[in-house]
This record gives sequence, C-alpha cells and structure tokens, in this order.
Amino acid sequence: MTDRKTIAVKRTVRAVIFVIVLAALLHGIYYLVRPASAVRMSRTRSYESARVFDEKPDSLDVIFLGHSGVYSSVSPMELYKEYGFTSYVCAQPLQLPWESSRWLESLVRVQSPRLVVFEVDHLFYDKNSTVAANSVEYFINRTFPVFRSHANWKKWFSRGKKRERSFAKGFYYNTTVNPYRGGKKLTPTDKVYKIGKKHMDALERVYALCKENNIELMLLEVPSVVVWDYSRHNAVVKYAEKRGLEFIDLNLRLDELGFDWSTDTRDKGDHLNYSGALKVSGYVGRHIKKTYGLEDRRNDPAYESWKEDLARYEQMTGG
Amino acid sequence: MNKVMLIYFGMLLASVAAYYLFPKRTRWTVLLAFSLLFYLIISTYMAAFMLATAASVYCAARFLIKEVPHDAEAAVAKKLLKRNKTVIALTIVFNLAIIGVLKYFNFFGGMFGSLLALCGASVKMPVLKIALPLGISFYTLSAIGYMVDIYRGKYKAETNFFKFCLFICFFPQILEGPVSRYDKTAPQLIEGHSPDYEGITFGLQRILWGLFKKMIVADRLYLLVRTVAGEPSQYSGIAAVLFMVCYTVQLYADFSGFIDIAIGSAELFGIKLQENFRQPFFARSAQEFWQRWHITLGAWLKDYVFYPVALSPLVTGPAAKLKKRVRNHFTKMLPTIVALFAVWLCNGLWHGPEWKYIVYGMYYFVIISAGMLTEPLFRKLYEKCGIDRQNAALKALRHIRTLIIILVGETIFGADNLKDAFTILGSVFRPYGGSVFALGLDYKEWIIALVGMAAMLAAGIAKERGISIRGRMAAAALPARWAAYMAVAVFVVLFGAYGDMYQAVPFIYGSF
Repeated sequence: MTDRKTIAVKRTVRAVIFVIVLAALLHGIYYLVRPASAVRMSRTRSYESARVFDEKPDSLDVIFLGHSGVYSSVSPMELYKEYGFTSYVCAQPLQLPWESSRWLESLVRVQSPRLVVFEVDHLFYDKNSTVAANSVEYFINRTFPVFRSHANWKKWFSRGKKRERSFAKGFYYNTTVNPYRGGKKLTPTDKVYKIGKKHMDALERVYALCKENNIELMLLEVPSVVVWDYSRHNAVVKYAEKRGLEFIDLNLRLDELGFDWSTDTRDKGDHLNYSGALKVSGYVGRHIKKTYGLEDRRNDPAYESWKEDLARYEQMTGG
Repeated sequence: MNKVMLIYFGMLLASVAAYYLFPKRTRWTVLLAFSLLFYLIISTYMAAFMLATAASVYCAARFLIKEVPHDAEAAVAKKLLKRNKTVIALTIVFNLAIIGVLKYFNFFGGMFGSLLALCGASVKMPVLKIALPLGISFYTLSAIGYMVDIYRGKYKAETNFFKFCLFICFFPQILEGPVSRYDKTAPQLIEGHSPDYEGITFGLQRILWGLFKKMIVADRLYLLVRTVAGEPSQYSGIAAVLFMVCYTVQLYADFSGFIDIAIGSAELFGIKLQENFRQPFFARSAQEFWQRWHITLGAWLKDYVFYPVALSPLVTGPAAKLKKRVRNHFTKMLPTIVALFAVWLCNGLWHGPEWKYIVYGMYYFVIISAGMLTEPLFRKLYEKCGIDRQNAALKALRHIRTLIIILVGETIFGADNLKDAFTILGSVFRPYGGSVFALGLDYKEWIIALVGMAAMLAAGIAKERGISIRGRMAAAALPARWAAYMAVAVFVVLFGAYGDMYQAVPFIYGSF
C-alpha cells in the first residue's frame, strides 16, 4: 500500500514538474517569435490589421474599426485614389467592441487621426458563446503570448529583410461572387434592440478616447442582409442622438449605392466582395470628404509611400 | 483552432478532473453530464433530435422487442419474430426519417422539383434552412446498429435509459466517430475506471499526435487545397496533381488526427475506443484501402447493409434462378455485387446530400466490383504467363495503382462539386505555367508541411512493421521521453497552422 502511495506521489510530482517545465518552455520560446513592439501593444487576430503599426506615425487621417464586415467593405486605397485622404481598416474576424476600443487606445499613441469610423454591427455580437470564446482566447493569449505570435517563425527565414508595409491597408480583397437570392427587406419597427452593457461600455470608451484626442467619431453600418434589422438600426440611432454623432446606415441607401446582392457579395449576403466594396468605398469616401473636409495627400511628398502602395494595390486588383 | 475544439478541450480537462473525483460507481454520470453539456453548448435545441433517437431506440429495444424462447411453439415464435421485425423496421424508419429530413430533404426535394420541371410542372420545393444536430450521422449509425443487434439477440437491451444515452452521446466520439458498437463501448463507459498512469500518458501522447497531424499537416495543406478548389479552371498540371495529393493527405491527417484526439481523450478515462485507421495508404487494392480507412464505417456497412442485402431472399431468390440457367463467375457473384451496390450507395449518401458523394460511392463500387469479377481472369492470365503474383515489382505496381485510385476518388470527394472535380482531373496533363509556391503555400510553409508528412510516413512505416512507438517511448529513459514530448509540443505550438495568419479549419468529418 505504502509502495503504491509512494509511486502515486512520485508520479504526481513528476507530472507537475513536467507541466511547469513545459509552461516555462512555452514562455521561453515566445522570445524567439516576439513581434515588433508597436504591434505587441494591441492584441490581434489579423496579421493584416496589425500592420497598421507599420504605418508612419501621424500619417493616417481616418481609422475604421469593426469586424469582417468592414474589412470586406471599405478599401482605404480606393479612398486614397479617389479622394486623397489616408486611412486604415483595423478589423478582425469576429472583433468585439472592447477589442476595437483597445485598438484605438494603442493607435492614438502613434497616430493622430481626424476621424474614427466605428462599424456598429459588432455592437450586436452579444451571443454568450461569442463573448465567452473571446474571453478564453484572450486569457490563453495573455498567459502564453506565443500562441498569438507563433507565426512569426517565418521571420527567421527573412533576417535582414525589412518588414513590408501593407498596401491594402487592412482591406480584404476578394472577387468571389456568391449571390444572395432571398428577398429579405428592412421593415421599419419601433422596437429598439438592447445593446449589451459590456458592448455599450466599449462604445463609450471609444467615444471618450475620441473626445480626449479631438477626433471626430462617425457610426457606420455597411450593407448586411443576414443579421441586420431595424431594431438594431433604432438602437444605434438612439445612441447617436444621445451623443450627437453621425450615423450612416447603408442598408437604407442601397439604391443610392447602386448595390446589387446578386453581384456584390461573396457569401450569400454576409460579406461583400470587391464589387460591393467599390460601391461602399465610393459612397463612404465621397461622404467623408464632403463632411469632414480632409486634406488631399496625393501630391504631398511626405506621403510618397502611398503612391507606391497604390501601384501595388492596383496590380492586385487590376485597376 | 476553431471554437468547437477550444470548448472540447476545456470540457475534456474539466471532465477528467471530475471523473476521478467522483466515486467509482457514479463515474459514468460525470461522463453523461459532460457529454450532454457539450452537446447542448454546440447544438443547443438540436439536442432534442439526439434525445429522440436515444429515446426511440431505447424504448423499442427495451419494451417492444421480445425475446423468442427456444422452446416456443412455431406459431408463437413466428408471431413474435414478425412483431419484432415490425418494431425494428418502424424504429429504423423513424430514425432514418429524422436524418432524412434534416440532412437530405433539400437534396431529394431539389431532385424531385427538377423531375417535375422535366415533366413540365413548375413546383417550387420548400428549402429547409436548418443546421444539423452534432454527430447525427455517427450516432444514428450506432443507434441502428444497437437496435439490429438486439433484434439478432447478440446481447440484452440496456435497462437504464441514461446509460444508453451516454453510449449515444459520449462526447469524444460524437464529433467524428468512430462509429462505436454497443457491446464494445458501453460496458467500458458504465464501468468506473481508476486513474491509470500509463493509460493517461498514452492518452495524452495520442492527443498530441492528433494535434500534430491536424495543425501541422491538415490545416497547412488546406491553404493550397482552398486556393485550387476556389478556382479550379485556373490551375492545371502540377497544380492539379498537388491538389489531388494535398487534399488526400489533408483529409487523412484531419480525420485520423481527430480520431487520435478522440481515442486519446477516451483513454484519459480508461476507455478504449475502436481504431478507425490502419495505414490506409499502404493498401494494395481499393478493397484493402477500405479495410484500412474509416474502418468502423466499413464494418458497420458490412454488418448492417452488406449481409442483410446479400442474404435477403429478394436477392438470393432471383440470383439462384439465374445461376441455374447460366453458371459462371458473374452469376455466382451476383448477390455480392448487388449488396456492394447498396453498401457504396449508402457510403456515398452517408457522407452528404451531394452528387459528388454519390459518384464517389459509385466510383468505388465499380472499381471493387470490377476487381472481383475479373479476378479469375487475371489469375488464369498470371498462371498462363508463369508470373508470380507476389513478386516485388507487381506488388509495387499494385501499390501505385491503388494510390492513383485513391487520389482520383478523393478528388471527387474534395472538390466543391462534380464539375470542379472533373475540371481538376481533366487538367492534370495540361501544363501549368505558375509557380508551386504561389498556390497558397510559400517555401517556408512547404518545408513545415513536408516535415509533418515525413513524420506521419515514418510513424506509418513503423506501425506497418509492427513497431509500437508508444511502447518504445514508454521504455525510454525519462529525460529522452520528456525531451521528445516537449519537442513535439513546441513544434506544434510554433509551427501549427492556427491563429492570425491562418484560417480556422473545422474538422472535415465534423460536418457529415
């Protein structure tokens, strides 16, 4: 009996030591794949959006915050090409509002944007499972940051090479056409969706950050046929009125955009494709230029790199 | 890593701790509670369908099927048998109706609509927009298998509904199988196991190996597979061949990877699930491939489709009559061929309500049937030419032929649709002008993918030669053992295709 107990104790101790050594090892290897300091400030799920920190300090006029809806719908390079102002989309798949506020917190340390465009759809990512999974992921990534930045092993193969700027500026280029054929229409209602407290607090944090840093804040909803409805629209209108903010719901302006669900979506109405993004970017760019009067950077020598990026972007899009 | 797997591992950790904290006698309740909780989290209200299957099969087996006494009079025995047959048929129809409506309604509805349209009638068939209950294709097979076994008197019906429910929804096997048999799995689930150091370490090793296959190989090759499958008309030659190879390896690494995780997870509770793979790419014929690939599905189809069809009077009757008139190898094989047709049709349909799966099933039906029918011909040919069928060159040729058969089959299976599959297959001999490093995997990703595949191949060769890697590891000195475990763990963490730069890829068989 004593022998058995001794063996059990020995094995337990061994198992504990194994776990401790493995945990230490996982912490240790983090230093092999640690990203550049600016990127480290923000927690990211998207390599493309994290590259906003590779932009020259104080060079961005507009920051877009949101989830996959916004990086599929707004192309900063189209905005630059047509209207001359600079912007970046800081959005990740299933991004939650408090992630957006964290992005902004990190960004205002290195950038002085004139405008922040907050895509409101992610205020409604309030399923318990989404929030819980996000929290677990956050906990794991904080405890073992190597899980977050492990993909930097690739930099071992490119020592000496300078990290490349993103030329799409956070935009996701996709030309797939997978039409939405349902006949769902937005039906007006008096119902007002109750935005979750944590989500609302995050939006308030974004509002406060903008106020502290003299940044205008605009609320935007891009075309979305799968989940968007009028009660959500009403909830955002209520908040926008309370804070005196501008809110543009493009779902009410589809005709103005010339939007067509049979050609402008890549996954049956959940996300837009390049054709849809061109229409949204055209409308949003025109509106921002007119309303916020941002400077034209196209002939500014300080923004020469944007010309190079535009050339690469056009090579990608064939534009 | 996708969210389902995060929940799965969280649940596994909590359930293992709870399992050993509970008294031995009640440990199965811990498994049931966690299995139901997992099911509810993933499938929410769809759990009602799983419970309906469990309840219907449990009740039919427990209360409706009556044992036929050995000394019963012929008339009584006949009556009882008839009654049992009706009960089993109704229960199977009820459960097939659930899966039929949820999984196949749109497919058959669409086909029916097209048929009507051909006849000139314009009928718009309703489209069901409903998610499938988790693991429905797996637990339905297990439930039907149990039902038939009870009818055949193989074992006695379970008296406790909750214990039966655990057999149906045991969470490590609900996602992708293996398709378990009641007599092999249920007693282990119910019996409380004491913590076994060796079992737990073996379980953890198996889980780590499963993660290696999934995250190093499967999810990395997915990048190439999606690139080509997304626009197959843009690719040809080496790109098409790479799609065929990479999809086949991805599917194997993904499916067998999860089976490793499931079997390893069960081992943490002291439960041994059935193996589902036995180095399938070492097969020398299509038939042998299916004895090594998705073994539990193949065995299920053999026991519950092949034999009932082959031995059915509806098949044996006409076959016997034909055999009397024409006596040759074909008429002798006829019942087998008919049963094989049923097996492969079921196999194709089981994978999903799509034409590509039906064609996939028929592809193997044709190849295996042709192999059986031409067997005497080839035997005679080899004898006449004096060729030893076991010589090394022929063995190698058979191996290559089987690999090509597998690659073509998996291309039909893995392309987005039949048209794309034929586009890819048809473009193999057309030259491709692009670079192989522009197909979604750069040279760095290729290096890691090749290292992963080499490790899988080495493990396969060792197993094929009867070498127990786990046994050898257990016998190694502690520092060497720990170094090996940690090296694999660190390799998976560093080079796994997960996180920011990769797409979360759900387990392929999880959607069946």
